[in-house]
Amino acid sequence: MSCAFSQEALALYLEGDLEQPAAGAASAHLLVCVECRRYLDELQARQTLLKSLRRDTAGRDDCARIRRHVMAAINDGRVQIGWRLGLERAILRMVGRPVYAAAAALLVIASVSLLAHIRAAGPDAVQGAATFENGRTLIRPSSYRGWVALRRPAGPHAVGVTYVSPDAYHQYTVTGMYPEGTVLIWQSSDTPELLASVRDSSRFDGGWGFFDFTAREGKAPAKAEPLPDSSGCRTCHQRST
Amino acid sequence: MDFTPDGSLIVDTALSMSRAADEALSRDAAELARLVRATLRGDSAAFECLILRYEARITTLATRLLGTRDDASDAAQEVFLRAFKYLHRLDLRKPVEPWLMRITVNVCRNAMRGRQRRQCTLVDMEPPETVDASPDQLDGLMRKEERRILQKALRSLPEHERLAIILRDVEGLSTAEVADILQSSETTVRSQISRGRVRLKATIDRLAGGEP
Repeated sequence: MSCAFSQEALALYLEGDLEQPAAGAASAHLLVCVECRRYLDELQARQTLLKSLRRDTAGRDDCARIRRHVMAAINDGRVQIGWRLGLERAILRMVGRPVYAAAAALLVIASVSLLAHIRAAGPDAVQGAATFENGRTLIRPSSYRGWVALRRPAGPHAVGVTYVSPDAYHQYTVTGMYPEGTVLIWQSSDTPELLASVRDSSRFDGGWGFFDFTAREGKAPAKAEPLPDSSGCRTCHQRST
Repeated sequence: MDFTPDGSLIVDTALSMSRAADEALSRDAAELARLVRATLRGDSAAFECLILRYEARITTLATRLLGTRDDASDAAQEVFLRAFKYLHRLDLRKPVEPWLMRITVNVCRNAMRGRQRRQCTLVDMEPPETVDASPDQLDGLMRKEERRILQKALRSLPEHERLAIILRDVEGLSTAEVADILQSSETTVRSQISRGRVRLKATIDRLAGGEP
């Protein structure tokens, strides 16, 4: 088509979708342009073809089969509303407007999630968190060998494995910091040496306490007092961080 | 005599027809509201009544969008299951059909994307097998080859243009209704429709001219 008049404008003009003043301009142009009139006629023919698809409708048997499947899923209890939508419905009964109910439900869900997050960030929420006796005596975690093993060499503790509870490790990967209550246990690979460090700002200066569970006479102690600053643990760890 | 000199009878008749239509509409809306509330109270039979009202329209739309009976059947089931789950969000002051059509478009879009991920091209899909409401009339209007070319051309359109064309030209909705269902602006829909119609014509011309 050699005429520069917009084909897309004609395609809208065809069904009255073109707004004024563009529609008026198209009408005026069509009066003088044979080529555009022919193009419009051809568009009209395609449009008639397209509209003839309206005669096709889904068969009754198909609809009945779909209905049977849907109702079977509902009646068999396979369609679960879930607690979020259940909450939304409960709120809807009180406020009466779907949009307010959805907003209120979102607010409740966000608040609950935030509270859960805040709670999870607290020392009590960390699974495998340090357990103390008499204030500062650390009870050796019994199942630390099942924790996440960090095989990264760490200064004087290069030959060995550092264990951290999965919960604390997960929070570290999310926040970049070990949560309060985290216990890190280092076990030497070639000696009986077994050391622990605990993050607890309320108990220890600098936020970390250090403990020695190294076996004496073949048996690792079940509990340990925090090591004094003279042990050098704090100095070395503070330098490395 | 039906008319008075001042034409008041005509006005009265028109008003009473309008009133009757309004009453029928409000009766229908009241019945719908009753069915929705009954469903939300746990009456699944009420939901079946709702499905009966809309199943033909929804299944037909899904068939037009997806092109095959099997895919459309799966999509229509998904639409009604979603409608059941989210029924409490339905605003009863508005018509139900656009709400269901919006769900249908979303479900079909997901199905189309899933199909694309499975690297199945739309062009190779089988034509929809739907029941012809009036074969005698249709024979005169559209030959089988024209139909095949039209379906192929439609399937070759970009997704958003095809959705707009099907809703506007095949479903016969207004631009405003299409914009509402596609959750888009009327300006965007008009642009999609104009580009789609031009592209559709060009593709049909090309295919009718013997190009593959």
